[in-house]
Amino acid sequence: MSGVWHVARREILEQRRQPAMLAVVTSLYVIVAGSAVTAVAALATIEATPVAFQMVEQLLPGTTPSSLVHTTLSLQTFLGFTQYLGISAVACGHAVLHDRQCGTFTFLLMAPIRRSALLAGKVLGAVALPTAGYVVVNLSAGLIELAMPIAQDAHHWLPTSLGWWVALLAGGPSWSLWVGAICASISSLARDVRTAQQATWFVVFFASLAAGGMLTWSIDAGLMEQMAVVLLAVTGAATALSAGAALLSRDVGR
Amino acid sequence: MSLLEARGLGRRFGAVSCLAGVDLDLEAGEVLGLIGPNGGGKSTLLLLLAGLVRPTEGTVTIGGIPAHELATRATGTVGLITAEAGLYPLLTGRENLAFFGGLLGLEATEVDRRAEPLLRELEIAGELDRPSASYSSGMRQKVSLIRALLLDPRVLLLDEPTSHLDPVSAHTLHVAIRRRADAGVAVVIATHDLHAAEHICDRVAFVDGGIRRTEAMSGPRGVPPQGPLLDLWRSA
Repeated sequence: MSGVWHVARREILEQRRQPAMLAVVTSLYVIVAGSAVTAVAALATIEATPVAFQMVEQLLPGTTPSSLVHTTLSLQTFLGFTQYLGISAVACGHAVLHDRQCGTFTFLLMAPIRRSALLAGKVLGAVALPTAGYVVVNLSAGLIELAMPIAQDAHHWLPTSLGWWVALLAGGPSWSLWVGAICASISSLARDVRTAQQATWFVVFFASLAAGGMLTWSIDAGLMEQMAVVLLAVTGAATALSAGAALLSRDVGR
Repeated sequence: MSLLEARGLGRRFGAVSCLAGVDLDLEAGEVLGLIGPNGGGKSTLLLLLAGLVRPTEGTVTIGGIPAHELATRATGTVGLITAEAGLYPLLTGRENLAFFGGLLGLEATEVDRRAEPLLRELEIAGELDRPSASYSSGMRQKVSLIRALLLDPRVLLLDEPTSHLDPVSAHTLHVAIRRRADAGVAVVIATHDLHAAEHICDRVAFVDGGIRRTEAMSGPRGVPPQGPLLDLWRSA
């Protein structure tokens, strides 16, 4: 376990030396969460303005600002998850590729640390700061939305519901480990940088989209379904790490 | 029994044979040079000796232990330097050494203690707290050498360690390497620098798909004294 932490800590240290990258990642979270907060605020204004309310009813028959809040918050949840998982996938894939490009990977493989611990350390270190950013930004957005009376009906998309907290603190991070483990394994095994990047982008696109959709669905479905989804992600991450470590050990095991 | 023994060592990558039938014995304090064309198998041979690649034929042992088991059964027996140095660019040299030392089980303070005399020897004391991205190639290789020497290895494996270096840095590195050999470390160095190989190595093997020929070097071993141009370079 100390080996995992040692590798992860170095990964975090190097990310901290890239403030521009961290600013870009945080900005991406803020754009999605901020857009949703702005949209909910706008819908609150519309609801309070009879003329605007009537215009919405005419333009979108059968909908009300309240029902649009529900759609906005579910869309925010889906986009937020997908974006976070995509960022995690890229961060993990790049963490290993960076080692290969710097020539440090050879020295990691020579060290007396298990391959699975090495990959786990890379993944945990690579997702740590993106996860912190995702939690802070989405928690802030959730609390702001909670303060808006119009959002009260959509309470299960807000910090008032246990499901929201499970999704934020367990669902997102566990699926982030899953996509991260896949991308780190791909990057350590791919023949060259180009192949690794291509494979990583496929995972970023399809896996992040699928996992983001599943996470969003699970909040709506209930707590048991959510826990099942988290369990699935943790199992998937462990399987991906084991498979990656086994393939990395196909020549010389550790 | 030799410190390093290879018998019938070979490696295939798929259908392609990269290296075959290598027999090698290396004693403590001996320097073996590997010369040969690009793609001849020098780097693969070093990876086999380092235990990073498993042979598809034959065996290689260091101190009686199969090379691929060294990392766990005899950590630090082998020190490795590669042509690209292998440092994290955003970390300082000290942080790099602390990280790799930590992987080998050393506390950061112990890494500092062990690195101190090596920094003086390699003339880079006081330069270790800059990000390694700002280092010259020579500086990077010197830090890489310190990393390789942290656990006082019995065998040093060097893959073209001076290929990107200016003559002064290459000279400093060659002196340090020869000093280790004189202190009993067995050294295998793959190089295209035939002049250096002639003076530093006790034996030189020509590698091209296997060891084609081995030649013992005659005369006293050591890095040639500095000539007037090297003196000029240093003083300028």
